[in-house]
Amino acid sequence: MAKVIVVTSGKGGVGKTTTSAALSTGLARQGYRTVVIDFDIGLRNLDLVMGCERRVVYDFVNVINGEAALHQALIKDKHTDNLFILPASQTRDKDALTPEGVAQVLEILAQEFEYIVCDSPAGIERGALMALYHADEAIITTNPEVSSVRDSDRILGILQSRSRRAELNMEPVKEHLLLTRYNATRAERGDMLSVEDVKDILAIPLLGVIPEDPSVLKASNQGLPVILMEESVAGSAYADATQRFLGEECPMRFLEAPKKGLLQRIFGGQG
Amino acid sequence: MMTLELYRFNEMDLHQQLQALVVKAPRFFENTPVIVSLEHFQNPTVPIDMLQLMTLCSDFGINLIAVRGGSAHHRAQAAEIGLACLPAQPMANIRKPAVPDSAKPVAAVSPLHKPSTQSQVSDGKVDDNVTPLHTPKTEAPRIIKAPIRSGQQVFHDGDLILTGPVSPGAEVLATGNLHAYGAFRGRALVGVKGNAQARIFCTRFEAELVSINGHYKMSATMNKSLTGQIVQAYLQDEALVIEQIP
Repeated sequence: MAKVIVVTSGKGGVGKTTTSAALSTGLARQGYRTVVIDFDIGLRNLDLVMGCERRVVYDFVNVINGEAALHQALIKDKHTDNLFILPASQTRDKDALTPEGVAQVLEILAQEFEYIVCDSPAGIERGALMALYHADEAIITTNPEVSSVRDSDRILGILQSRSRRAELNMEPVKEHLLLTRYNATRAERGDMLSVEDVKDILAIPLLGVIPEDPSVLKASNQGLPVILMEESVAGSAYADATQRFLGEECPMRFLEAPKKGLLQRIFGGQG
Repeated sequence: MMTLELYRFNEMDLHQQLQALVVKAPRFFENTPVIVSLEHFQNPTVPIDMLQLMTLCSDFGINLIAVRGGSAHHRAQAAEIGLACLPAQPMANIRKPAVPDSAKPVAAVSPLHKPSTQSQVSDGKVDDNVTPLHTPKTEAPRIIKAPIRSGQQVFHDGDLILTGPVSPGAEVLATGNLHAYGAFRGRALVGVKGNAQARIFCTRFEAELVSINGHYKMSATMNKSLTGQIVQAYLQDEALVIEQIP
């Protein structure tokens, strides 16, 4: 039985697409047949981050409208085996997503894949609701700042009231907190919320902490999921998070500020 | 129960006026059945688009249940969209406000006056609708284990017990007491249908707003030393007291 995972946050720009790309790549690299769907109709980004924008012919909306078969729209990832991408439409808007259409597409995908990762758009409107409706598990992507935490809290409420599992009175959607763009030094100084602060407010289990890392930007500009940059801190943090998602024990790294050496202390460095 | 006294019906004006009211007291109408009184309606021959009125009100969270008074035509219109019709209060005509027409708002809101038995005997069905709202009959306490998230609203007619946290931006309303065992960061409103005895108990108090029987305090005006403490709130001589439980 395929598992549907929604990557959501409420707020925009916190790292949903980066996370979707990294997590789906991570799952596929563990040998699971995985598909990642871009629900951000009209503002497609996932194909850019996955580096397949020039191979998009048909998209999610074409499939929903019956203008293309699902296998025509699915793009095989060039970096990772077992991974497929269902891109969003650039020319349509979120109204093109119909509940029946989305359900139908997911049903077909469920027969072929083990993990279906839904990259949610920002906001709490139609696109986001469609993306989370079918979820079995949710990855709540949150930045360590108050507005992001507040929006994540809001989306958690929606997840437990508007999802299919909630409506059918099934076991609730399993929630995971993924704290992204974390800067331990600034959290220690009190400029940012700490991991403990966020955990305390959201009260859901922590899946991982992804440190702020310039390689994330570099990777998305290159069209490469950051998890494939194995030497980068963000990449290895995503790899750890994937392991934890699959139920393996994996100690949390990058929670503490790097100790500064004597020379760095004298000449200063980026904090 | 609230009465919306309608003097004339103009969608724009009423919208503006309700808007202003809702800005001042966002939860004024929450979960409260409202009666539209047409006793002072200026021109009883002018028809009222009841459906429009009801939609407008429900946009503001105002739950219309009945009209009171008004011409036979108005009552027929109201009945058509499923509103109950209450007879006019016998004193209504005497209470006519002495404000000049131009200065008058299109509507005014006031708590319901106790209906006199005289006006009730005529229609048994109306009695059924009105009386239960005056008898304090509450449900068994409700226990909620799940966290209450920002944007969620929980109402219980009776005592409410929360074992999970309440997030900022969440709203908890009870007609009875509130007991919160997780961190309470939202808004707590108790005695919402009128109960000055209702109390709030929090084991970790970080509330944005506390309200008992309509008397409220925002976190900005609360004593900072209460934050994170075990706290109770109650009304004493019409004043809201929030204090640490030793």
